[in-house]
Amino acid sequence: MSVKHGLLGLLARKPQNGYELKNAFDEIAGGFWDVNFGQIYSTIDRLVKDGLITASSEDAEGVERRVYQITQKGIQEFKDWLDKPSAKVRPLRDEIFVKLAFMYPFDKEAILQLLAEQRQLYLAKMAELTRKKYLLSRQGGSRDMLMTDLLLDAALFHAEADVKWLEHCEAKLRGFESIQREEALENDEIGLDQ
Amino acid sequence: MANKVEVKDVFKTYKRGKAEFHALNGISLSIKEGEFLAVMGPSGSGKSTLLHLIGALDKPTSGEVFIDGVSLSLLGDDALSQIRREKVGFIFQQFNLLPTLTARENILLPLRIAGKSSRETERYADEVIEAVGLTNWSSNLPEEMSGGQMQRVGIARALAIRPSIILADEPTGNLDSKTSEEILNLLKDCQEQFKQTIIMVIHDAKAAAYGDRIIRLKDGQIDEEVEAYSANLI
Repeated sequence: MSVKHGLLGLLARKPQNGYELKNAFDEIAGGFWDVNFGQIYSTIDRLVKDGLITASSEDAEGVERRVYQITQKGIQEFKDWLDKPSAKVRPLRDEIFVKLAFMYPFDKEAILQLLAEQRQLYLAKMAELTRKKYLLSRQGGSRDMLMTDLLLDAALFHAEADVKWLEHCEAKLRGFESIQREEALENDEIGLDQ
Repeated sequence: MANKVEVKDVFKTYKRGKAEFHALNGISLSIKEGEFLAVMGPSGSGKSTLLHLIGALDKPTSGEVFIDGVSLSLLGDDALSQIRREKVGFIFQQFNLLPTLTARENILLPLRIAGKSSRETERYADEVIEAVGLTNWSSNLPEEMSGGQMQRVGIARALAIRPSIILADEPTGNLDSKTSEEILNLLKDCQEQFKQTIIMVIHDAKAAAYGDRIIRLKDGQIDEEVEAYSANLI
């Protein structure tokens, strides 16, 4: 979801002002996407310029407020976007990977320690997400809850993948070390023979 | 809160021919009353052995296991089987249901074996059957049920004796992820609603995340320990 299409989708439900849009966006994103008012308003300006939404003024107790409405063109754009699968694969910009690249091959013990601590952190996060999911499941089912639950699932599956990847890194680094050690031993033996 | 289970410097050694295998290698662990502990670790790390010793299904080579402050090593066979029958409910990966008995009969079996079958205990068992969502399946045979339903029978059977400790060995090992979630929610309910202490052996991180505490065993010792709510999320 982009901020642009998120706002179009919200305005397709009903006309809203910027403040309402921000709140509705936060609710849909379930706290996983930090969007500030600046981003909301700059996106709104762009949508107005592109003719996807229009703005009108509303008088709210003497204060003029801008209310936004989706246009026919905007609805078409939103539907086209909705029907297409997301072609982009989630970007892999893991900070831990950059750290690894700089640490290796200087300090293997420190790397293994870092990987283990990172894995434990992800595990603790998984437990917290699971706690949220469990509490949600006790509240009975509404459509919005199902969506939040699915979003929590997504966060959990990704955290699980991170845990597996970190375990994999640990196993590979250990494996690589033992190969190097064996090679070093073999070289020593050859050295003794000569 | 009081410690429900204490494991003190426990070793468990198996002999394979002349070779000795240390399944548990001096492990110590305290589990609080009402805690949900997840035990992870590779196969052969001692997870199931630990569960069996806590459930009084097996005895340590050395060291002690305490339940409610009582050392199991001081108890005779009768007292031990009483603990197994009354304090501990077991849930297995393979469900371990008797194929010729209906769901309800399987669930009532431990009560009948313990000679505790009465109108009152059977009524409680029926409440449990309802709580795990099996009311419409109680007269079905295991072969007529899905994996998720069979595990619900397994959980209801464990709960029917009103155990204060639930020991689960890979309870979701044979289930898909959606059914696993339902089963794990049920286990979490046991902890939240009935204050039962739960010890679950599991290899899957997603299931382990149901625990308040997650420990990882390696070579018969605790290698890592993660407190569940220590992370600052988002």
